[in-house]
Amino acid sequence: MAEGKYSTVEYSESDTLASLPLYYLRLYYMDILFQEDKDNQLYSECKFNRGITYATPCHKHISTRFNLTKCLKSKE
Amino acid sequence: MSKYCILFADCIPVRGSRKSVISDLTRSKTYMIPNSLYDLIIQLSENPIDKVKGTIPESQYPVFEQYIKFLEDRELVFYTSHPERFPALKEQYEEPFEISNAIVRVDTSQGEALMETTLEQLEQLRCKHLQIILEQALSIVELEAIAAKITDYQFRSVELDVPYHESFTDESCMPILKNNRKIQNLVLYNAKEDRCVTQANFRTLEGMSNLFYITSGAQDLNCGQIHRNLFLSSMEFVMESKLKNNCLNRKVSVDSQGVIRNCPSMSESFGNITETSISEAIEKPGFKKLWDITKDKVNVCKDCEFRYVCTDCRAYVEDPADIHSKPLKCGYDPYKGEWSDWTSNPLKQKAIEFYGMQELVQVQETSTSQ
Amino acid sequence: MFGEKTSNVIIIFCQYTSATDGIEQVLHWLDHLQAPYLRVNCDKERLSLEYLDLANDQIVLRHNESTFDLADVSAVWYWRGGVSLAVPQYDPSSIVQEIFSEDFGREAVKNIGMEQRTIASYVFGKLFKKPHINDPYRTSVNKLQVLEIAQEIGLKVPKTYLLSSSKQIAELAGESSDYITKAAHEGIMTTIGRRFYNGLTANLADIESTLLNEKFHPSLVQQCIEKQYEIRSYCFMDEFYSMAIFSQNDDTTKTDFRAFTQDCPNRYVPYKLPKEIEEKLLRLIKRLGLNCGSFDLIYSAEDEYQFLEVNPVGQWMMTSVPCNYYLEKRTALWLKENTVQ
Repeated sequence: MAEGKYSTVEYSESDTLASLPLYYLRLYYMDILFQEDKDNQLYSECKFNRGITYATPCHKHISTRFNLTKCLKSKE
Repeated sequence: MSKYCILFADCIPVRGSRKSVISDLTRSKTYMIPNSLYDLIIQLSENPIDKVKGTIPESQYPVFEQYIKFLEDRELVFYTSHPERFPALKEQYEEPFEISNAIVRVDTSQGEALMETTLEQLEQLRCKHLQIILEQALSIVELEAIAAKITDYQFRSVELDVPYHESFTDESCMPILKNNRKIQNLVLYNAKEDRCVTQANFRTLEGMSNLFYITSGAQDLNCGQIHRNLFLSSMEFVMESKLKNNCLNRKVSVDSQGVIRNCPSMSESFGNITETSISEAIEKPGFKKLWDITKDKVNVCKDCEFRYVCTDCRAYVEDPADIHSKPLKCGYDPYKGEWSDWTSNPLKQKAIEFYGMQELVQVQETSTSQ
Repeated sequence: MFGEKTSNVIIIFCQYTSATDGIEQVLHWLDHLQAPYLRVNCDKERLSLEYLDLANDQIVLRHNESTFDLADVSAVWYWRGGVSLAVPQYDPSSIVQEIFSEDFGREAVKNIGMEQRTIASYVFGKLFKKPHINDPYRTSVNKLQVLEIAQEIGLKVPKTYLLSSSKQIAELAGESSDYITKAAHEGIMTTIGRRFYNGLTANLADIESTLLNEKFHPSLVQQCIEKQYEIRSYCFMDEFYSMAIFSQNDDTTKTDFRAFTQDCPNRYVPYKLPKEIEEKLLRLIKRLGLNCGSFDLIYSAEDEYQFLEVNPVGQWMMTSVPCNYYLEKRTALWLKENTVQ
């Protein structure tokens, strides 16, 4: 999704520096690479519980009629 | 205080007849190790490392050091004076709903009513994952429409299998994946090549959704493959394997005629969806009878080091008269620790004939000999 | 979602987007257990009061199109969002202004606001006398006060200071150990544009000295405890579900394990705290008036448990999933069992 970094935020004014708690001088941030995913089909409204639900992969092969992994591996 | 060197709880050691493995559930890796290392790991889990070393003849120290280094380098072990504070993972696998995954075959030439009934019922059962196999060739526009329709249902992931057509290209198919993120795999079968195009898709398996071109067909006889690259080393899969049949558990299939089965490769029917609902069918006696056949109860598999990471198949087994015999399409012999081509194994010829797989096997032989 | 008359209702205060918090999994289990629940998405909607009869102890609340009697509520789970009652859809100031004066209108707005708060605090006070998980009025604790109580109870806590000048830091530097700094309340966490900021714990040594002003905002500075591993312990109804986090192998997570990398994820494994530590943590949680909480501790290089903080409405999925604890099922069962009166 994103790469996390610690940034040294560039605060130029010493007044600003004086008003900040120290931990602000080394903030952790991540750049979200796929912003468009936040507002489309990654999640949908759940019909059953009035909330949103996310698309998630299956933890197993539903069937093994195709050996898709073989294809995936050969690509690498 | 004496130090213990123990495996992290998410690293599961499994002993086979000739070889062992360690499955790293967090990092999705399975390491093959000699049985002597497995035995050492068990000793180390019960005794301080110095005590274990004391029982080993000095001539074996280099091997001992090498083994410990192997475990350390892969971050499989840590040191502690209090092993009692690190309990093993509880072996538990539960889901709130009876059906978690489904295979649906659709013959679009007969209209989409049957598919709609099936998907509506699966949705009501809160089935999470769907594989849907379209049997008839269709145009890209029709494919787009059907993909959008399927995406509207409350599934968590969908694999959509479609017969390949010349108009299906990366350019025409990738937008379907982009616009329907629940579709994790779009598989074009009977294609002219085996190829995969991947699109980054946050929150799906390996961060990707995939477009596959696959030369093989989608017939049910193709299913039940056993292969190293189908191994899965994850918490959910390993736990389900330990406690349930890792393929058939919470599965239902509905074919293009509406016949309800546990798995499409099995002959036993539990009714037709035009007369029986899926929720009625799954409660019929016998529907779940194979769900408790774990790998530990399958002959040969129970002695195999891969038993919790490998898929199972009860539809095609080596001895069709014995439901506890090993999957037909497995070419691994855990007593030798060797892989071979299952199709040419003389012991399997009877079963191949029984299931009518002779043609299929010939196709595989020609393709492997290329 | 309700029929005409539903009793034994579980009320859940969360957000529309709470899926990733594990709310969804708990609701699935409640569906499976056939336990009726009412989900209030606090980011989108409010309960409103229909009627209250003090003598008969009757309170009728409305949620969208349906009404329910407080007596029929069997359990409450507070997860996220502000709880308050729905306010009328008109602006009292403009209406009262028309009748009286602008100044009167301003006073009236304040006054009606207090009116609403009085009603809400009574109603929610009654609601949260029911068997409940978490309490909306105790979602945040004072970290400094918690450290003080923890110390009193006999838990070890890292040396803690609030510093406001570089001179004070320089004096600390004279001592041998490293120091970290973090928020005294909660670290800032926000997404601006495409950038997600997270005010994690930072090592003082990593802060560029050019940025250090002579005077600065009072900042929480703590002795950095060299750790063997970190511990997250979720306490649910007096039961502890603990997890050890091994992150030392990776430099990026040395100070705060949440800054993990994808390639080499931390190890999250089940853990059992010594009875004596669990008892102390339980005393702490009771002193704070909580019935659930997520504790952060460090197991130090000196073989000591160092208490860091407690989150009253703490994340439990991050412990439940890697340790295979099935806390989502446990939570649903607890909510349901209390529906049988």
